[in-house]
Amino acid sequence: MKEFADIALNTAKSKGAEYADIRINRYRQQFLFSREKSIQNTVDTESFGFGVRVLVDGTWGFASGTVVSKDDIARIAAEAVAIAKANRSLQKQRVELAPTKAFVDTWQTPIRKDPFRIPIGTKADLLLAINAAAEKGGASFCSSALFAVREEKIFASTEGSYIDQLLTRVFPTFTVTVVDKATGKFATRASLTSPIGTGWEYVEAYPLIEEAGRAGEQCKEKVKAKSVVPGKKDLILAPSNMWLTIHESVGHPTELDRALGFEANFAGTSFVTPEKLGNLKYGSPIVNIIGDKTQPNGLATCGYDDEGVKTKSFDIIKEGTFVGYQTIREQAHLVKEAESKGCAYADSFQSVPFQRMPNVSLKPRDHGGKKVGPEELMADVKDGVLIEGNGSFSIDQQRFNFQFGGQVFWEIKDGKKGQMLSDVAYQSNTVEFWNNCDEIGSDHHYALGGSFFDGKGQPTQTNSVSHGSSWARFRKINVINTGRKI
Amino acid sequence: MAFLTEAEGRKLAERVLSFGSAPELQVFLNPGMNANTRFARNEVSTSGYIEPCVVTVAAQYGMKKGVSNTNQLDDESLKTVVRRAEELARLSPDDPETMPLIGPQKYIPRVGAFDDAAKVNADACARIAAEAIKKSEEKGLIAAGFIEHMHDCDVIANNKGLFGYQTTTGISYSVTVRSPDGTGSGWGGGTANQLSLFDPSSMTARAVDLAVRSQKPVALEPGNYTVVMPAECVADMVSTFGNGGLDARQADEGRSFMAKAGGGTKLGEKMFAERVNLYTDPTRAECPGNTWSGEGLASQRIDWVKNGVVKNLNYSRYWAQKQGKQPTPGVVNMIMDGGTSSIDEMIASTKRGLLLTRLWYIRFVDPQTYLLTGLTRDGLFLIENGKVTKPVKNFRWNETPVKVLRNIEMMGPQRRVITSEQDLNSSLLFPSLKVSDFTFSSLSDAV
Repeated sequence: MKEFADIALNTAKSKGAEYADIRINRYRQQFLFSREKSIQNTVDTESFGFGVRVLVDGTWGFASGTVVSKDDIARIAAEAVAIAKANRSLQKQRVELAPTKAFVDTWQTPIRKDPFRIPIGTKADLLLAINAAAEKGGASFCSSALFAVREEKIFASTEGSYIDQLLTRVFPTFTVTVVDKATGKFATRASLTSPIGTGWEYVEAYPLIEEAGRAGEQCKEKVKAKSVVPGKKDLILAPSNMWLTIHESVGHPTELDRALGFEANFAGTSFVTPEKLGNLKYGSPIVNIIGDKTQPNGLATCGYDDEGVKTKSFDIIKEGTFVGYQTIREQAHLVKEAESKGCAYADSFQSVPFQRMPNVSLKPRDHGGKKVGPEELMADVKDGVLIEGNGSFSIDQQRFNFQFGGQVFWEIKDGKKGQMLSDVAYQSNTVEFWNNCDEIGSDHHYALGGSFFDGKGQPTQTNSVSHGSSWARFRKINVINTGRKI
Repeated sequence: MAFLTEAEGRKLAERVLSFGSAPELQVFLNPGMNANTRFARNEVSTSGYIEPCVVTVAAQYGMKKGVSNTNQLDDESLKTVVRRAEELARLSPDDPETMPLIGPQKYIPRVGAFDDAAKVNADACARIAAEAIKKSEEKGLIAAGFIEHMHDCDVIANNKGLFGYQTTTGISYSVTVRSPDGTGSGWGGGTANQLSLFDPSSMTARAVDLAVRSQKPVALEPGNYTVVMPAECVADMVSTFGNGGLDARQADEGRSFMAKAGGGTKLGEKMFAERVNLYTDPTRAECPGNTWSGEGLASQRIDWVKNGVVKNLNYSRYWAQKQGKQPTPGVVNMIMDGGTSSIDEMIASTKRGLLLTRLWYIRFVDPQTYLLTGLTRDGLFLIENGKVTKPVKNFRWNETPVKVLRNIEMMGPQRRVITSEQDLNSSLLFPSLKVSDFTFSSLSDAV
């Protein structure tokens, strides 16, 4: 492939580009969907192609192709240069790329079992066993699915990089439903599993069948659970709920392109404007949140981003203060930083790389080796709610006001976990919420959650990203009752 | 491969089918082009042009089935994609819900492709962006927007004699204009299959006007308000019915807002106001739907709600067979009849209420009651004694479209709209509405 890459880079330079890169990517995905005793669909997809990005007089041009041949690569590289020249008159500020070292390297997701080598029958049997366990636990219905993704990515640039990466991700999941025919009420309970950046070994190790049975039982309880009394309550949030709250209320607001207005027309801007860098009290002093594309098992983990920048870990919130944006090469200088933090990603060879979220995680608290989890966090809660799993989520276009749900909710009274609740959602303002975080569990309870399908940009691109945390406690958060009658 | 004629599509489909040996084999092709121009901070940021062609093959051996796809069109790749689909099918367990492939269908002539839209190019997109930037700069404002156009075709064919071919053109545009101090924001946008029905200048003008008028909003108390909802807001809430809300199986199984306590569905019940008519009609030239549904059935007009009564639910082929019903070809577009009231007349008739621009980040809260949550965005205004008096801060809302469609006070004419998270080819034709008792649950500081 190096020969093909060189054709693109040399063509671009000969046509007038001061910088060029090429990504030659092959994507393989496999999905299985089931419900009850039926494997409803088994899908295997593959796509292959390349994208050439060039800078001509500080203006981007991009073009892509699906026929990976010397002639087509040269043609597309020339087309990218032509597009850059056409766009040049519309450009007011030259694109400036922060420097990066040239890397010649390979990287791959550490996996023990390739999910694409696991027989279809094994996968189908697992899904049907999950559905059967849920039914045994009391579910009226159960849908389950398995997703496996492999990205083979080559990146080469005129700066001398040639990087070959192989990324693997898997995601087992299910949703159970219980219908109470007499009352007409129904409830769902989704799996607490996470998509993850590793191999089939995760699917084998996670107790999916056991959890499906428990989910069936919990869903039966949920459909008859007491409707929550709204008001200001203390929240004890599991990592399976925390990940999405971190994603929406910290991950997206601290994307530099949003803060600068590049996403204003779709996802929106951010309340975290550049003058707040280094002085916004985003959270309480125990809140430490990092961006990290090197985190083991992270969905966004890789060796190099889609601009060839070596990935790393960096602080976003340190001891409660906002200290760092997620950046890419062309935007680092806009906040007076010397280098990119390696957050460029494109979801396809035919998509333009732009700033996408790295794994963004809340650091567990050091309790001197003592295990601190839900029991310890609940101990001095008089009136609260414990929430597991992520549910409904919505947040405004500058990331101030959010409303999140969950999968299962329990009342906390006088330090003790009580009965299950229904109709729960919590509403808050991002900064107020994180400043009300008064305790975080220890690393013994740390776990990764994440999204396989995080959308951003126009046209929308999909990113996979993980968020780790331990259990955490938030004081006096507005809990609403979502029950209605129609 | 930018495009295939019908003859070329048939030839390629037949070639793919010839590589297989499964008793039932179906192929989908969708070659075409899609191009876009994006701008932000009053300058063009990115542009893209792609010519994708995805070949999808579905194989069935009795009750076993598998699907595979590729974007490579050489014979070796096409043979591989067929082989992979057949292998998946053979290795999969029997699926008791598998339906045999359908035979030849009589598809209605497609009304979604127009020469004027097929000729849109990058220069035309650049002119739209340049106008938005110029109009915004003239008022000291900052514009960000996205223009996208496409021209493609779809082919469906199988070894039971089915063949279908349709072409589509489309152009869409959306623009958000903000004040430099961050206190005001306006939006405009739309989509069309034909250029003659597409007016980006008016969309830009609306966004600029709203950005000027929405600055320095004041806070109101959350609560229940009468609202004047532009068609975009109505579509944002009601069109979600098409994503499973009308599904017959979910209703029959008791896990839908269309299910009744004690069993059965609300089919035949009057759930909404008398004047609510909601339907699918693929032949509407200003808002065409696909010629066939996902299962290959020929699209047709289906009334979902007529005079407020639930007239039809959406039956898949499997569920229809199990329930002894006719399958429905699906929600290929969604249309709601309108009225004659203008937005100005709705405002003039309102003692105290809110004028919305659009809704944002809409998510399900409770499928039991079809409760949704979301926010207002890009211009929210207080109406007092028949007049718009001031811009107000955005709200989070928690509301169900079931209630919205019961509490209609006035209706405006239909308009093709895009929703908050979908642009190109949104096939939605909705009216503006004046609705009472809409629930806003908290304030948002977002602009």
